[in-house]
Amino acid sequence: MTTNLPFPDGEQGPPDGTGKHDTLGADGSLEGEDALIEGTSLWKDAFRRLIKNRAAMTGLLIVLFMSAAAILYQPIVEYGTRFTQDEQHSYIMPKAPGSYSVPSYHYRLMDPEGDLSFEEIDREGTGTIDFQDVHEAYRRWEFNRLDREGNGKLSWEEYERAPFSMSAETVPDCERWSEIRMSMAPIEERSIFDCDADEQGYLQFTNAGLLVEIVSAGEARDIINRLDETGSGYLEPHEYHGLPRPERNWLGTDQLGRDLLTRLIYGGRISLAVGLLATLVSFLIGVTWGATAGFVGGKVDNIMMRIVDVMYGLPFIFLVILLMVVFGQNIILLFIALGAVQWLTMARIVRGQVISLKSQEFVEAAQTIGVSKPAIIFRHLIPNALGPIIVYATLTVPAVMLEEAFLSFLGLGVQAPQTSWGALASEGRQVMEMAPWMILWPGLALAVTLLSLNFLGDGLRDALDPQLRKD
Amino acid sequence: MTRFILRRSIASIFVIFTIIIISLWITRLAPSNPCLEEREVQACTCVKMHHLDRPVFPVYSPPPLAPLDGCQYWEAESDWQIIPAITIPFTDGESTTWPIHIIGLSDWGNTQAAIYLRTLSRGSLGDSMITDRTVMETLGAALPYTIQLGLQALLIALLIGIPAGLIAGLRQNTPTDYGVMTVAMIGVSIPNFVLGPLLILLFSLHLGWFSAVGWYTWQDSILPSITLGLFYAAYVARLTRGGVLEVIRKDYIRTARAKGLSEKIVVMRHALKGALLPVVSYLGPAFAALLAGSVVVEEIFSLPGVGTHFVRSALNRDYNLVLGTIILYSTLLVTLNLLVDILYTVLDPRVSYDDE
Amino acid sequence: MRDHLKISYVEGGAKTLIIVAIVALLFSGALGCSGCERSAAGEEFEAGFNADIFSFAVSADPQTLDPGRMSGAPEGRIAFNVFEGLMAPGPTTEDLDDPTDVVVPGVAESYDISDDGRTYTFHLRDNARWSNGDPVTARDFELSWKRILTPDFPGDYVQLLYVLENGEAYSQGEIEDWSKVGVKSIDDRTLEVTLGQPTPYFPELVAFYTFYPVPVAVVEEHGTRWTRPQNIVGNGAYKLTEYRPQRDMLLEKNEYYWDADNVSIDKARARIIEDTNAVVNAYRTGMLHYSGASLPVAQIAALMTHPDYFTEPMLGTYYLRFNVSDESNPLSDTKVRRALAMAIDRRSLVEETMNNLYEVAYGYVPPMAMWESTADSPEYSPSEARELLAEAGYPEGEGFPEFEYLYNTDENHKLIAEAVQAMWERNLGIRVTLVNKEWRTYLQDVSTVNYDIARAGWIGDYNDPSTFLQKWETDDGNNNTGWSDEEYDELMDRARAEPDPDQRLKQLQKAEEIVMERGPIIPIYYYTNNILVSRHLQGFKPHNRDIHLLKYMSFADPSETDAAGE
Repeated sequence: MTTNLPFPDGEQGPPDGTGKHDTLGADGSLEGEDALIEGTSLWKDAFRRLIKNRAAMTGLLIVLFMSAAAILYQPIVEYGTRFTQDEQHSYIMPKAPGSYSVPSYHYRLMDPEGDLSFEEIDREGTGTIDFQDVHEAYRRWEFNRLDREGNGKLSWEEYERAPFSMSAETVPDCERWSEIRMSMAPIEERSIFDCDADEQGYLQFTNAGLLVEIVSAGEARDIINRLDETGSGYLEPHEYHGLPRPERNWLGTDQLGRDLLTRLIYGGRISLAVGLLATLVSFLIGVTWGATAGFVGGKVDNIMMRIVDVMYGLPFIFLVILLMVVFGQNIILLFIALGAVQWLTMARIVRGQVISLKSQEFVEAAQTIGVSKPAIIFRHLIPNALGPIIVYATLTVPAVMLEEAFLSFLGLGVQAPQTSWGALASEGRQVMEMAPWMILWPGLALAVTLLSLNFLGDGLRDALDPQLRKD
Repeated sequence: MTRFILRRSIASIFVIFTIIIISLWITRLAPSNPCLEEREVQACTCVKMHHLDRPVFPVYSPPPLAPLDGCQYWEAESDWQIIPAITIPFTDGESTTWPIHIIGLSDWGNTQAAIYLRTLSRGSLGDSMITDRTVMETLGAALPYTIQLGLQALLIALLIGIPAGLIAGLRQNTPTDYGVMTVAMIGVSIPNFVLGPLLILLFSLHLGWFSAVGWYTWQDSILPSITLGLFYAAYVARLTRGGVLEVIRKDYIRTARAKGLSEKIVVMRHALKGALLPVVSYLGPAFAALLAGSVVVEEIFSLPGVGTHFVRSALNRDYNLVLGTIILYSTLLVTLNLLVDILYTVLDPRVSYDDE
Repeated sequence: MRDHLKISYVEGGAKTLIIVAIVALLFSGALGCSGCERSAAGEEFEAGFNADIFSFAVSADPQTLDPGRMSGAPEGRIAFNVFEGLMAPGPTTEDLDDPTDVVVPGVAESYDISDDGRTYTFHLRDNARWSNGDPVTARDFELSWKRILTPDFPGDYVQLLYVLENGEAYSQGEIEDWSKVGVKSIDDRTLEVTLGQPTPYFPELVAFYTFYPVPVAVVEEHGTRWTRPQNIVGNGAYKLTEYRPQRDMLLEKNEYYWDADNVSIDKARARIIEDTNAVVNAYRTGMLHYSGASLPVAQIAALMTHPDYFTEPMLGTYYLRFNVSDESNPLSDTKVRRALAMAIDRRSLVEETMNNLYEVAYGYVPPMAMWESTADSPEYSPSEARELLAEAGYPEGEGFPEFEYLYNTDENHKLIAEAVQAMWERNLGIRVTLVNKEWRTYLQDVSTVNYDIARAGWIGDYNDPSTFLQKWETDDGNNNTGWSDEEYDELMDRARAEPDPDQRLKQLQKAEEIVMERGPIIPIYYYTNNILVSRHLQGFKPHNRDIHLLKYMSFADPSETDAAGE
């Protein structure tokens, strides 16, 4: 919703009536050659200034980093987080940052030794491993992980360090708790630990119950199904090569147990794509419109710019909301709708630039030798007006991303199973007291990216526009 | 000036009319309709009551309306199919082919658009299609909250933004400047839908200072106003700073100083006025953005404002309420933009719209 | 140097401004909540510690407060308290021996049923009054029902009154003589109702708001505006004294109510909060005593340990429906549907995937008083399912077309959809595409039968199996599957005409068996209602239609409750 107006209409001229593209034109006039030398140095100069701007460069690096993560989503999922964005591991249990879950697809097998040998897991000695055995094995795994002293029991200090998922507002009495905990995750309260601890204050494995559960019974069943080659519903010795290794949910999970880090990367993909593509749409419309109006001038200009004026008065964002409600959450429509909202300022800027450029000699020269109007617009005028356009486009990206997030937050943006930072924040809001990380991380990702883009945009403006330079 | 206002008013009416037509078209084009319920109810009564069995415009293609199937259609006296068929691809990959019709002149008054415009010309926004209250009643109850929220947010934005921008601009390139501007930059980068829930988490759920839900006393409006206003405070600060930087080098400031006027007077009387111009020109877009932002803020804090109605009615396909809200928003915006333009001429005598 | 001076002045000015602003904000904050208390962490949570009177949440602005027109839950919550029918909903549906105990006497003290079960004679009590002091008469009921049956009356539940003899004909405009419709006020205190068919659940129907009386004179005077707080007149235990859209409704005890002496809560506020997260926040900040509608699963995990957590079974079934309107589609094949049903492990779906929040549905009609399901529920058996599919001509799922599974956007529906998708693929080798749509669009697709398989839910309107079974009759407007079965229709017709309740139940059981055997559905679970309600609120008991009348509720002094060792 930032209607950013870094360049009030026709206030500043272009950096100079110059541009490196001049030489590409048919007009090999003196002007053009002159411009080549000067223009190159101007862009170089701007580039040098940009590099010196630490805030802008940090912003650029962060944006590049985010983009790289978004592009590399697939390999990151396979070799890094090992969770895909849409795989679920629990029902109503968000896990805190640092908990463990068992990935469904990109898992590694643990060595079938020691506690994980076939005989150890098959506790009843039935010769097969069923889902209850698997469930038990993972409980044992989690128990051993928490048991740092290795004495086979957990002290409160050891237990407390576990990244548990939620805290209760009021501590239930033990009787009620024992009912409740059959269906849910551990609670970060000493008194609940005490309910299950022995007289010395230690928690034995047999009493740990679901306090050390990292896979549910349903999930244990799924794991069997994944490893089971014959479809029998249990594992025989020759089918058993080890259980999938639990992996860390670095940023925690949502209430369906989906890994937040993976979802954040995936969401960034959509958010950044919307930002870039919608800006591209606004760029195309705005530049074409503005350049045409500015170059043709006269009545056409007057009518075209009056249309822009009128459209400034439209409550566009409401029409976008209406469109999204009405036509379902189509991502292509999202690009177009958001881009269509943003082109007005771009058109004004371009027009101002073109008007001040078109009286320059190189344009006149091009006209005299009969270059067509569209060719002049697109090959001479626009390249020369590029500086301010780039700056404005850079500042449009965060504005569009913010709008997309705003729509997603209202539930009108991207549709599941896709997600975006805005949609993630919206989900996080619903459980923010129980799982604050669910709104914090997407919010932070969004804020940092927007901040970086804003700094970059400012830096570009300072670099490309000597008039507004700080010194 | 009068001519300018007159011309702008005419343009505004044209804008609003266009919006009405576009919205009419978009709402009716949407799949589903207000008469459809999970259980079979008196759908036909509802359809007839709201004239949904009629074409929206004289040129139309009959949309597939589910509850209409069992109802008797309204029939135009004359009805020609002018184009054999048009195929409209839907977003879910399906497509529907509808014949396009045009109805006779005598029936134009019976189209949904004509009926709606007639209602409007009587100064009414019609009845809600879902509830038994009129659109005027519904919006009338909600509007004061939205306006108050917007004004408070704007006040916060100006109260924080202008002084901050002034300080930064007057102490350009000092640590204060960098500090203020970095904070402002962070401010414009935190979306209000992240800020709002965090404020609730901190001030309502943990500290218990404010209530988290609804608007029952004026204290309940503090958190929403801050949520909505902080973003614009940061933006106003940036604009003010830019304005100060531009003005401070101008000749008239130098003259004022040369005359030996005290710095207080120079800054307050001369520099401030010039520095505020970009802020004033931003007020128009700011109002628009505040209105849009209020949709989210009302949602987060469950406030009884217009924004909540807007999203809800669009999802419920309450056509009249959607249109009413859109008309309300457009009128507000157009009027405010006009006011801002007038304010601008008052502040900056160089600007005159008459010789445009 | 001059610059410096100037700046410091401005800075000072600006600083003052900022400080004033901040102080004003903080001050207002402190002032604003000087009366607020918050139970500190560790202290026991007390519901409603910030509310002056009994407060509960309703999930939306009521679409209308006219009991004859309404259909939704928020509307019902108000109507049940502001109006009262011949019978009134009882405090609970739990542990009832007799299904008619679901309701208790309301405006009518008692009623007689004729031997053929078609004529009910209600005896109204003398002291039943409107909130303006006028007596409630049998004539009020007759005129109210006539109003609803008037052709083109925009009431959502008009169909419920079709149980009256000739009710449907009058409503459709087929007959114009009101005296032919089966409702007659014999005198002020006696109402004789003749039904088209014996309807054992009729007493529960008249306890439903569509059958409530409206003050005819007031309605005639004010038209559609009669439900505005300044005009509205009711005959329930409470009267509506204030309504602020999107904010709240105020209910005050009706002094003219016949049972006013037993009404304990004098004033109640219904807060309108649409967002369930906001409901939970409001509850936590002490604004509510009762959270109203069921809470979203996303929130339940954190609330199950809450001392005010309350769960009650609901009269509703979650199921999958098939589009069987196209004969050539394999889904129209009973064997295929049975195979699909047998390939779903409902138990693990509900107990493990749904974290045991709901109850596994082994039949289609949910448990209710006097009802025993005899239907044979297809057991989970992948091997049998594969055999059935092979019999139907698709061994190992070969040649089976890929079809779509439609659900409206919601976490629950999505989880079920994904789990079912995986089970079918694994057990039968059948591929399913998931399609999710917004509620309204989903409704459109379902009502135009434009889907292959869709999730669905059905909440009963009264405690009788027929509210679940009727919809599968051929012409029922809620069928929406294209399913039609002659034997089923005949059975339902017979059950409708059956005067003997036991025989009737047997026929309905048979009907359910047919639905389970070859119907267009796979039941998954029975709904439950998960809410927050103050521990100190007495008289709040489980009700399977989520009807909780304020008049049954009372507040025990918290200290007393503790002393009693509850």
